[in-house]
Parts: sequence; C-alpha cells; structure tokens
Amino acid sequence: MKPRVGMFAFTCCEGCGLAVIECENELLDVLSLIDLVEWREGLSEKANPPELEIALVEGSISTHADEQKLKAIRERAKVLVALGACAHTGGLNALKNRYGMNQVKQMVYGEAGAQFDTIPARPLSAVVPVDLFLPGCPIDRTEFLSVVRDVALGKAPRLPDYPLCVECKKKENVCVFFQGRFCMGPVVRAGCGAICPTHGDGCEACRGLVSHPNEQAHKETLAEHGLKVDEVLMHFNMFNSYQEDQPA
Amino acid sequence: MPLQVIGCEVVPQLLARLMAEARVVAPHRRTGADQWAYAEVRDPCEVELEYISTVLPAKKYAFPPVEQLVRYELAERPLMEAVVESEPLVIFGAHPCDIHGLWALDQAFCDVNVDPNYTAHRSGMRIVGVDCVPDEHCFCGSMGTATPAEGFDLFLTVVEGGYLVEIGTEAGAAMLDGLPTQEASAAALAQAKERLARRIQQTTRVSAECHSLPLLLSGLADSEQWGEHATKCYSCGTCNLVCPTCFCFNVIDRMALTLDRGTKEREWDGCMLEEFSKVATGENFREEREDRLRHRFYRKYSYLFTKYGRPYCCGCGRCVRQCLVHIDPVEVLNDLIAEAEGRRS
Ligand code: SF4
Ligand code: SF4
Ligand code: SF4
Ligand code: SF4
Ligand code: SF4
Ligand code: SF4
Repeated sequence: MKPRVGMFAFTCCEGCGLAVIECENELLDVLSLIDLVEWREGLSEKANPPELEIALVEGSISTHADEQKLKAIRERAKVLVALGACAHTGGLNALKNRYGMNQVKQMVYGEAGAQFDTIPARPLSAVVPVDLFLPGCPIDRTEFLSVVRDVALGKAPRLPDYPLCVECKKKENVCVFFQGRFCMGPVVRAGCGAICPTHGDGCEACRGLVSHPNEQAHKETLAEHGLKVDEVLMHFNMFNSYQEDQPA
Repeated sequence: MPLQVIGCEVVPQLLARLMAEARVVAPHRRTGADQWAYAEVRDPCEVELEYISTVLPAKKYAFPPVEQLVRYELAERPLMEAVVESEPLVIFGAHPCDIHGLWALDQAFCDVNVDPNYTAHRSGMRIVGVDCVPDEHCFCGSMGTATPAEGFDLFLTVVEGGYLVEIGTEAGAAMLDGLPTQEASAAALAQAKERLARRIQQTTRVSAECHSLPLLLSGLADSEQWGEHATKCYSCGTCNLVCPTCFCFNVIDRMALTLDRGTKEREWDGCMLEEFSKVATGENFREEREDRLRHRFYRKYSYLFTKYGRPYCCGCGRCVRQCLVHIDPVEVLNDLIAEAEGRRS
C-alpha cells in the first residue's frame, strides 16, 4: 500500500507548499509513490484519515491553537517532516520574538490586535518530536523529491552536512566576498545548489547552519570585510534567531 | 625540432585551427572580480594569456565536479551500463603548475586501478601551456613545478613580440604545421631563460628544500601548530575542491521517482569536510578541524609525495587565494619548518 501523506501549514507564506505544486513534471511520479490524502493548498477534496504514514508540515508555531493542531497531527502521523525554514528553524517568523507580544500585535494590527492569540514563533521541534526536516526558504524541489522517494522506500534521506561553499565552488562562482558583498555560505548547510551566490547574492542562511559551524571564524570574516557587530548579528539572525530558552 | 618562435598574431590562427577540430577552452576573466575560469573559446581573438590561475584547475575537464558513472534500469531484464564519455578537447593556456596538477591526477587515477572515465577524458585532451607572471600566492619555485618537463603538447613562453614554443609531442608539432614560425634566436632563448629564472626566484618561498618535507613532517604530527592554524578553519572544503591534485570523490545513487531506473554519479569530495571520514557506525576518524588540516598537509607533502616521488602540491596557490580565512600552505609549512629547526637545536 502506498503511504498516506498529509500536507499541513502553520504560520508561513505557504511558499514551500507552492514549491511542491511547482514540481509539475514530477507530480504524477510522486503520486505513484504516495497517496496524498490531505492538503488544503493543493487538493480540493480531503479524506482526513485517522492515521497517516507521513505528515509534511510547513510553517512555525505561533498561536496556542497551532500548538494543539500540531500535536494532533503528530499523534496521527508515523513520520513527521518539517518543510522549510519556518518549520525547521522558526525562520523569519522568529524575528518577532525579540519584541513583546503585545508590542508586535500593536505594530501590525494597531488597536484591533488585542483580540489575537499570538505567542513567540517556534520551530515544530520545539513543540513535538520531528523525524526529518527539509531546510530552505523555500525548500529545494530536487531535494524534496529525493526525500519523498527515500521516505516512501523506507530509507533515511541524507541531507548534506557540509558548507554551501562546496556547491558554490563546484559551480566555479566568483565568491561574493570578492565582489564586495557578504555571504553566510561557509557556515550554512548546502543543498540548494548555492542558488543565491550563483546569482550574485550573498547567502542569507535560510537552510540553517551545518552541524559544527565555525561561527567565530565567520564573525571575523564578516568583520574583515567591513561589517559592524550588529550587522554581523543581523546576518546570523535573519533565519536563525530562534533560541530554545525563549519563553513560549 | 629546434625551439620555434611565433608572433603574437599567430596565436589566434593557432586557436582557429584547433577550434576547427576540437572544443577549445582557455582562461576567461569572470565579471565582477579579478578571477578567471577556463571556459570554451568562442572567438580566437578574445583569448588573454596573461592571467591569474583559474578558480578551478584544468582537472575539472579530466575529473568533472559531477559525473555519471553508471546508468541502470530495473526492468524484467535489469540493465546496467557504464557511462564513459570523451571528446577532443584542447586546454589552451594552462600554467606550468596546472600541468603538474594533471600529472598528479594521472598517478592517482591510473596507477593501480585504471579509472576508465578519467582515462577517457584525458586521452581526448591536448594541452597548450603558457608561462606566467606569479602573484603573491604562487610558490611553484619551491615545489619544483615552475617548468613542466612533460605533460604538454605545446608550451609557450612570452618573449619579445611573441612566444617561444616548446614542442612536447607529435600532436603538438602537427598543431604548428603550416603556421608561420621562426627558429628561436639566441636573444629569444635568453629572454625566456631569464623570465623563468625570475619566476622561480619569486616563487621560491618555502624555507626548506621540498624533498626534505616528508621527513620533516614525520616528526611534527603532535605539533600544536595544527590546532592553532585550524581554529580559524571553516572545514568548508574549498581548498580541496580548487586544488589541482585533490582527487577524492563520493558516489551517489540517484534513483528516479519511478523506482525503475537511475544513475550512479560521482561528485567531488574533500578531506577537509567533516563528513568525509565518518563511517557507517557514526565514528569519525578525523573529528577535529586540526586532524583534518594535518591530514591534508600530510597527503600533499608526505604520504603521496613519498609514494610518487614528487610533492602532491604544485604550488599554484589556489587554496589560499580562495580560502576566506587565509590558511596559506607556505605560511603553515614555514611555521612547521621553524618548529622542526627549533626542536633540533
Ligand atoms: S520557509 Fe519560506 S517559503 Fe517556506 S513557508 Fe516559510 S516563508 Fe514560505
Ligand atoms: S559566495 Fe558564499 S558560498 Fe560561495 S564560496 Fe563565497 S562564501 Fe562560500
Ligand atoms: S544560498 Fe543561502 S539563502 Fe540562498 S537558498 Fe541557499 S541557503 Fe538559502
Ligand atoms: S583551510 Fe580554508 S578553504 Fe580549506 S577548509 Fe579551511 S577554511 Fe575552507
Ligand atoms: S595545496 Fe594549494 S597550492 Fe598546493 S596544489 Fe593544492 S591548491 Fe595548489
Ligand atoms: S604557481 Fe607558478 S606556474 Fe603556477 S601560476 Fe603561479 S607562477 Fe605560474
């Protein structure tokens, strides 16, 4: 039997779900491997079976209601996969955590904000155990397809755990540091094909850091190329500001 | 045939002739920075022969960053076929260090187990070398790689008004057939000799004779300097990937989503990467950055040097040019040499 798969979204732009929809040429092959039973963004009908083999979840957890929904999904699913930076590291959403929750409600909605339930944004793993994650903002389509294939085969997918510079060098890009810009590549987990440096932009670390990043070395490199301390921190924090000790 | 001289204007003619028979690649300046990369020549007049070593060496043609090795199909009668590709290719403008780099790869890929993919790429390859003006990172003088004794079809050295041409092979001699050449004058020979001497002098920067390095290093495995140099290392593998003599790879199975066919591909790997020496149980032989840095240096200046009789570093300086934290083999070697001398006295 093909594994039953549900896709779910929490606080995010649902761009990762869109990246899945964009796998147009491969979607039929994907559907020969899995049975997609639940997906608000991509399916007009839904089955809602009590059990799922795989739950693919994008978005971070930023309301009490999200928390309950995610726990319910976890109970239904054998394998829970965090899709994209929002789900994996908290992503951009966690930037709000540096402000008070009343303050952010006020900033975004003014007076009307008082009625909203909002808590500091958290990655899925801060709420429930996560089996696998697919990093990136958005996820990389090729990586998504190979992970789906591996999971459907019951094989543990392997994500690269080396810095982005590897992929960048294989493409023989001119390092963006030599073009007077900045890049997080030396401490960031590869897998996107170094897409930003390939197009002349510095990497913003949307895929998160490698297991043992040399953060000190990178702070020095950024400083050597003219960044001030707060700018250095900005580069590190854009996608990776979530801290475990933040109050929920 | 005695050494010949060709005028600068003959270079485009030579290129045009080569382009009629093969894909010709030469260094091209990359936009946005003073960096160069080998790329296909479209117009013989666009080729510039004075350049700083390319980001990736000529190895990218003999041993591409990603390469299919096998295609398979899991039908009723399973099919498995090797993918071996070759095309006539001329590398135009390789520096002496790059030519030595190919020598090192030849040993690695053809010594015991002859690698069919590498051999196929290599057999279609012709090399027209050119001499160079060193930058501050070059150290071929110290590695004995400032002149290529072999490994080229033609080798050009800048002399007044043109190039002195050394012919390395019959194929090289044939490249010149019918082109206007002159027998080299004594003046041209003297100019080339002087140019070489100057280059060797500028690039002799390691403070010990290169053949003493294996022995010297053998006593320095416990040096604290490995750790000191490694604290700033990212383990980003850049120095491996851009190195003309690094040849490690990983083989990856890429099965199609339909699960009925797929390919096996190899892609460049490098000993500076943390996962490189991790084995199935999760054990990592070289867990610390310093273990990996030391290993890289021992490969280049000891293990493979001892095995093949020539340093496994051609002194091209590519690693330090691209290393964002400036880990410089000359500096590391000189620090180690100083330590060895200190220990002895
Ligand atoms: S990771 Fe990026 S693309 Fe994916 S849902 Fe979050 S914000 Fe959107
Ligand atoms: S551009 Fe970024 S990823 Fe590429 S080599 Fe430079 S630092 Fe590394
Ligand atoms: S280059 Fe960096 S910011 Fe861009 S997609 Fe890759 S990991 Fe994300
Ligand atoms: S020495 Fe430099 S290039 Fe090599 S792995 Fe370390 S930081 Fe990267
Ligand atoms: S170790 Fe550095 S200098 Fe030596 S061959 Fe490799 S890239 Fe060139
Ligand atoms: S290392 Fe020597 S051979 Fe190589 S580019 Fe520099 S000067 Fe030329």
